[in-house]
Amino acid sequence: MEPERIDEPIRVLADCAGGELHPLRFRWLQRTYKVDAVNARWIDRKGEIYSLHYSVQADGQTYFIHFDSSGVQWWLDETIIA
Amino acid sequence: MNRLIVHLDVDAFFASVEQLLVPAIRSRPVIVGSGCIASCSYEARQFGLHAGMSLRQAKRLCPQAEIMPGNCRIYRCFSEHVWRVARRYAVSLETHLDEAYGDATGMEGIHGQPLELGGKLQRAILTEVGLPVSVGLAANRMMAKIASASAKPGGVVWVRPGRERQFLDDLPIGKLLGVGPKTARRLNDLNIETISDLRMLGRDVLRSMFGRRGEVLYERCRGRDYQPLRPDAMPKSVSRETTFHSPTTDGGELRGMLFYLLERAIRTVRRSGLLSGCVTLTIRYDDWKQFETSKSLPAPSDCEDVVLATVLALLRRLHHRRVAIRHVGIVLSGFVRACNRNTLFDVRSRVRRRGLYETVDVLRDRYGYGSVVTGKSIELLGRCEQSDYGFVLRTPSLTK
Repeated sequence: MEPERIDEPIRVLADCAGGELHPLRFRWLQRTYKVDAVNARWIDRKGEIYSLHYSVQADGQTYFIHFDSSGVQWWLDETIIA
Repeated sequence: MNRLIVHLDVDAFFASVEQLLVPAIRSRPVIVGSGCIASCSYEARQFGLHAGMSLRQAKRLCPQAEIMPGNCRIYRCFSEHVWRVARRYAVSLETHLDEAYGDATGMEGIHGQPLELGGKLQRAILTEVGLPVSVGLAANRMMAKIASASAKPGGVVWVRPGRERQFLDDLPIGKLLGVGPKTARRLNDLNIETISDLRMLGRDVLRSMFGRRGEVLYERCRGRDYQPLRPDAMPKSVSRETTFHSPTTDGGELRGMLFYLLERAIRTVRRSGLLSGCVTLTIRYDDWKQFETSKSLPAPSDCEDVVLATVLALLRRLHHRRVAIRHVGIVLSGFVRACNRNTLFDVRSRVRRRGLYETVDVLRDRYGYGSVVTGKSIELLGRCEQSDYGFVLRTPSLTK
């Protein structure tokens, strides 16, 4: 299992029904990835700033993405190649 | 009316979080730690692995295990999420990183009988957070803890009031809280193997053997425990430790790392509204010889400069060999509540400095820990990578 650090901004299509964000698709390196499953989500609070983190499955791989409230931006943190 | 105390324990916490995040490692042996095992999954435990074992030995016993370095920040986020769910089922929650005690007395009307309540709580945490927990319910803290330990992994055990003795009878003496390996050996020498055997010793005998602790053991082996829940309990210690990326003889790097660890530890202390009264320094040389020494501070403090002066004095006392250092750690203890931080004899410069530390805390809260580098930790610039959370250490620090 190989984790690979990415740290790049991405565009995400998310559903916010029920007051929670659910990422559906994300676009990275001019390719669109469909989120097959959300493995886990957690909130990291840094004072008044928070970030919503997700571990998602797309194309059989695990991606760690997060939404940063301070920059109102989605980021791709890491991908894990099984 | 009998109380109903609930004890929750997240099963193999760090490893379970890693398995939750990465489906590819679910149902596979997983180790979290660097240098030694901080936590390992139940699949890994089947190979004889356990917390505290060196990674070298672990790899020999289970070469197929996935080794993860761990991320304390993520674990803390999950921990908070678990306790948020648990607060719906119990009040006065006393939380630690991977376990909590709560009072569920009177909740039966809402959530049903104790076993039903435990099951609901367990399912809620699994559904909402995704982590497996073991639940113990009993009339006091100690029995609830022993019950959850016997429920592991993923079970619910309720010790009915009045059945405490029967529950404890056949358990080995080492399962009783307050009986460590040394005490267990002493008791085993007297042919005391189980908790029911311990009841044969009178109060006076136990007191003469173990002092005041003997009195506590006398009560505990009968299933009695009078410790209250401490929702705002003061921690016994706050520690930060790490292994260098490569062993160092550089005094600047050593002092820089000590200051950085101290800064992180004392920030936790400051945020909890406490003052530290004692500091312990640990260093481990490259030949694995380890030394540790402690000193009380001149007065309890939450300021880096005051504690650093003591740490440097301890370092001078401890660092006397010409061997590279591979591991350093700082433990703050002897806490008192900081009701009024300013004392009659505080000089103005000290008050201003304290204000400075609090301002730096605010900046870090807003822009991330790594946004400000202070004091001797400047020595780490260019030596350690940085992220939003500060310097990237080889061993992520864990808090006791």
